[in-house]
Amino acid sequence: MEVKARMPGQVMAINVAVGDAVNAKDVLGTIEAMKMEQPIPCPKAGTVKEIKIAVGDKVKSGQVLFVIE
Amino acid sequence: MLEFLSYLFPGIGTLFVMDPVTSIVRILLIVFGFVLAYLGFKGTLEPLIMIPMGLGMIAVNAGTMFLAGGAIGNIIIDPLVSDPSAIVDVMQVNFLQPIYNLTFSNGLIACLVFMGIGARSEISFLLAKPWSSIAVALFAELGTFVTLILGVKLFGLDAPIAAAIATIGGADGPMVLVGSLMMAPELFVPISIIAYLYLSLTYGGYPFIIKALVPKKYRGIDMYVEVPEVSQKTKFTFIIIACAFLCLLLPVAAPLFVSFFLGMAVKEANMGHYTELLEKSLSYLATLLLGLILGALCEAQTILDPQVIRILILGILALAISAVGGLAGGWVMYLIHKRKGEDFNPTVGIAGVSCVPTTAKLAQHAAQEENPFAMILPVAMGANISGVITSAIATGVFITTISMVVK
Repeated sequence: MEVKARMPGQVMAINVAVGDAVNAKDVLGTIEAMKMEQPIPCPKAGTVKEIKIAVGDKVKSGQVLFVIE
Repeated sequence: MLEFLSYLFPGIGTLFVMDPVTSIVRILLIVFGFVLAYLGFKGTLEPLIMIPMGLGMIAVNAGTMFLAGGAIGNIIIDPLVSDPSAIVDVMQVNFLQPIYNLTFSNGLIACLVFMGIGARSEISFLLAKPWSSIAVALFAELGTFVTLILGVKLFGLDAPIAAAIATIGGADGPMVLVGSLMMAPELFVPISIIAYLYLSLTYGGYPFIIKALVPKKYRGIDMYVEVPEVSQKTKFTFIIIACAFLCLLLPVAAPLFVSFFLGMAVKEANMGHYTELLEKSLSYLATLLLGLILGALCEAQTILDPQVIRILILGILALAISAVGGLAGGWVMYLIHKRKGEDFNPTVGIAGVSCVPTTAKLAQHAAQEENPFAMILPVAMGANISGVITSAIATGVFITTISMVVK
């Protein structure tokens, strides 16, 4: 399952690594826009399969950030 | 002996020479300044404004002394000097006088803050749902208009004074400063201080209004919006055209518009140094001096004005009514979107009250509290930016039309 960015902004933090087991509502990372940091919640329990971003990246709304399996 | 001591410690000595009421108010203002600074330190109130404001208030009320000719005053600021040669003289003595005389009455300080707000604003949020954003922001001006009417009809205030107080409902500090300086210059100090004080309080108060007017089930509504990928060229063009259009329409607010849109334009043109200057250096410098000077203007005499109590009541009403208006706008948008089968979270309405970015944050927090996956921030920020523009328009309309009424 793909976790997409819900707003454009800059990646401030990534809290998980590939292979990590995650639960629903875990905070995978944070995105900042207009001086506001927004957590990226994990939609369901699973394992982090892929991380498509790095800290400092600018992301567009709808861009795939993580892949959870 | 006593006289000698009072000249040796004039800050204390003057307390015994002044009339007792003023002396007591001076002491109360020192305490109040301490409370504001401390609440800023704790983060209960906005520290960016409250810490300099509290210290300014303490300094001006503690640092009172005997001036040449036996007058009582301070060497910080004297807002009442109006004769040009006296202003030049007093600038050599009072340390905040140059900034006060050269940046307050012409609104420069507010414009500098505005450039910073512009450089921080991301216009694409406005373009995600432009009509809903603008509609919500218009609803959130309710407090501004209702307060004007209440002020005139219920409190018997003169229209310009009521209008100046009503601008608090627009929830933009710099705008209140400009509005009150132009419409009610004799009351701009208490109006601006009360505005900033109340604006700091919205962070604590608005969540209650949200909870009272938007039931739990609706607060958690998620909104799927695609923030459109607009090219910087399009955004830049839009900014320039909007600026030209608004300046043409409301020349009295042109300084505010050009400042705000200049901030935005610089950001979209990728002028990193300018963006950083406006966003990080200039707007913080302006905010610091604004807070300090507002505090230093809080002399006992100014605060003893009987109008202050009216400003206190009308100011809080203005902000509360604007919040209710904004949320009503949120509900209207909810109903309109529901017909089209789309989701719209009424909480977005609060973000129409243009305290950037506080109210957008509050909307998102309220939604997230009920539903961790709810994301309404992009639309809320769109409403927020629209709110700044509608507040500037409302202030401009007030200044233009009120002066016509007076003439």
